[in-house]
Amino acid sequence: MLEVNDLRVSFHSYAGEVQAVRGVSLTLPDEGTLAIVGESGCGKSVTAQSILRLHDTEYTEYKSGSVLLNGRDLMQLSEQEMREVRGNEIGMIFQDPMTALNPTMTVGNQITEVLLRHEKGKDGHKLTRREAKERAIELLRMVKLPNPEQRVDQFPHEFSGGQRQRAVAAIAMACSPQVLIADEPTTALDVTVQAQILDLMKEMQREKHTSIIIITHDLGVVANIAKTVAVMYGGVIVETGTVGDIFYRPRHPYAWGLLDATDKAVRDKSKPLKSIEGTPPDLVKPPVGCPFADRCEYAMQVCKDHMPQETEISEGHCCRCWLLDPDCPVRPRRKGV
Amino acid sequence: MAEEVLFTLEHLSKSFQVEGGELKAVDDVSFQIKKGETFGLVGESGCGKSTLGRLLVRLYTPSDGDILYKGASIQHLSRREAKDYTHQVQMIFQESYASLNPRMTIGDSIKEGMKIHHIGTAKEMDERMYELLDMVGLNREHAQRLPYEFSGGQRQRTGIARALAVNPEFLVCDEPISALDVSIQAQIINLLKKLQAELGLTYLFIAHDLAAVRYISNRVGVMYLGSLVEVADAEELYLHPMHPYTQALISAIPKPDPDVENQRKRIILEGGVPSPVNPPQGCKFAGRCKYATEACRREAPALKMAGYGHQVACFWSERYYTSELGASL
Repeated sequence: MLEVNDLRVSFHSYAGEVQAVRGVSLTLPDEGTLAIVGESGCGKSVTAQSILRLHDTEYTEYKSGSVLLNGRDLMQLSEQEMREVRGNEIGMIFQDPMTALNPTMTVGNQITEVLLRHEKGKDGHKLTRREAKERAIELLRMVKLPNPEQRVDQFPHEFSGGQRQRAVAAIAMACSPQVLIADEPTTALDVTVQAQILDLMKEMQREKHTSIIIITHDLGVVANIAKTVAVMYGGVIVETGTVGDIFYRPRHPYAWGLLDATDKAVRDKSKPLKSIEGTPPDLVKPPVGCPFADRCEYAMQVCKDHMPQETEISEGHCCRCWLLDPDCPVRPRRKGV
Repeated sequence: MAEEVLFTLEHLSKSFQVEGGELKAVDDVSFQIKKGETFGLVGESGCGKSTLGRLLVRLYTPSDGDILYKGASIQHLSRREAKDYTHQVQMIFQESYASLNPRMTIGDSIKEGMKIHHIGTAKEMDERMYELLDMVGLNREHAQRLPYEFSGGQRQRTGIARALAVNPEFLVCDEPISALDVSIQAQIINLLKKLQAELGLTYLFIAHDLAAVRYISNRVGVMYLGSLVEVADAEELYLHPMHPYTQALISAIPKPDPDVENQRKRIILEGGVPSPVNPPQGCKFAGRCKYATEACRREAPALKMAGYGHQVACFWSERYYTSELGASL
């Protein structure tokens, strides 16, 4: 089980301190699939990358928080110890498979690199190159790449976009990690290939009992794969719950807006699409109150002055919004999709 | 109302010489775009939809076939005619950042086209520029800013203002929303629709987001490996797709509804798109199509009428098109 508590991450830039993540707490149960959704700059990728501590420490400050993997706090580990976690206990799939792969190394060598680093042979001896290559071929077969015996010796440029993402998935799954973090794994891919990759992730989960964190801005992808969802905005989680809670019983106006904006399909064409006017807040000077207050049609004075507390609506379904305060005079509601 | 045809594409082809042979990006494509409509063009990366858009604005010259604009060919134009043509036909690009000069203010970028076409005095150009900023939902103060100071949505608005500066009749919108966030995508689509209604524009809307294309388009064409495989009215195409590729493409769009996603049947295509360099003989989709027969591999089916305004290039579409998907779409 993976637990993130009160994570705060800032970047130091020429413009000042960018408070990218401002107190995020998440729980990922064993074999769970958690989707973190939100727009660019909401802090969803930073949250995921912070779990693996992938940021350059020169500019990045982990201001507070813990990341507990089976009770062990990853934030307290040395860089040396962290290297044993990356790729071994937690695997990662990146958005752009071309930049995630090394263009000068064969795909096979990129997989065996991970295996040789972390894995042992059957009777505990050091894995030989030959054994590692056999396992790499096995992994490529698992991610359904045709002719894995030949493809293992090819370079990334000889792969199509979908095939590259399969290769990245093979690297991420090489050591059967407990947790797989997928940062926009299908954003750069065509819809038909996206469907293949999502199916592959679900299958890997069934076989290897991996828990998955998927970062995406596509609610269609969320509906397809997630069991629980965290909606992020302006560096904080504004609503979290099961996939049913978020799609059928959403309570945060930002979640309403996202669902409306996604639903381009069957609406009356003569009416304009519902969009969320305005733009997300600047996290160099994050608003003191609710980050969404500026764009929220229900915003009250209190929203601008104070950050709302988390309200539990039902078990596991929490929302951060002043509209849920017992003293709030209005009770706007919106049904889900 | 008689429908005036703005563009007629006749057996249009565009090939590029690449290592290993000839890449047929657009292969024998014929269709028409009517005045005032939005023609949506969908297909996966590399299917030739962007090349086709670029052919229409004369960024590329066709290898074969012809493009008629208001009945006259746009090939072999004199310099003067070519300039007139760019006055009427403009383009919005996917990468709004790459399409703006980073060292030019937003205002100057918008005025650049007017300067080239000698539209008005300096004062008139300024007035027009401010008018355009209003029109696309930017502030007048934005004129002095540089592109890096803008968000993606604001830059795309600038791209639209720039394209509209010379009062064109026709816009090629090449993936104008793919780089934007969902909430901003809706803003840009609404803006494009509003401008079309106000200015009577005609659009070629290229995108791989099928839901957005359905919303904005009157008619939609589906491309696969350089060929146009199906054309129909937008609703007709989404409700009764006939080509097996269109069916797979539509069934692959994830719906933002978990219960629907859990239950529905998907057509998962095996493998990927074959290389457009020396593509297979016969129907290009045959290798991934479960209905394919010997006949499909031997001969390429032509685009033919299969219903009211519905054209499809498949030998077997009539037999299969209702059976597979049913209510799951």
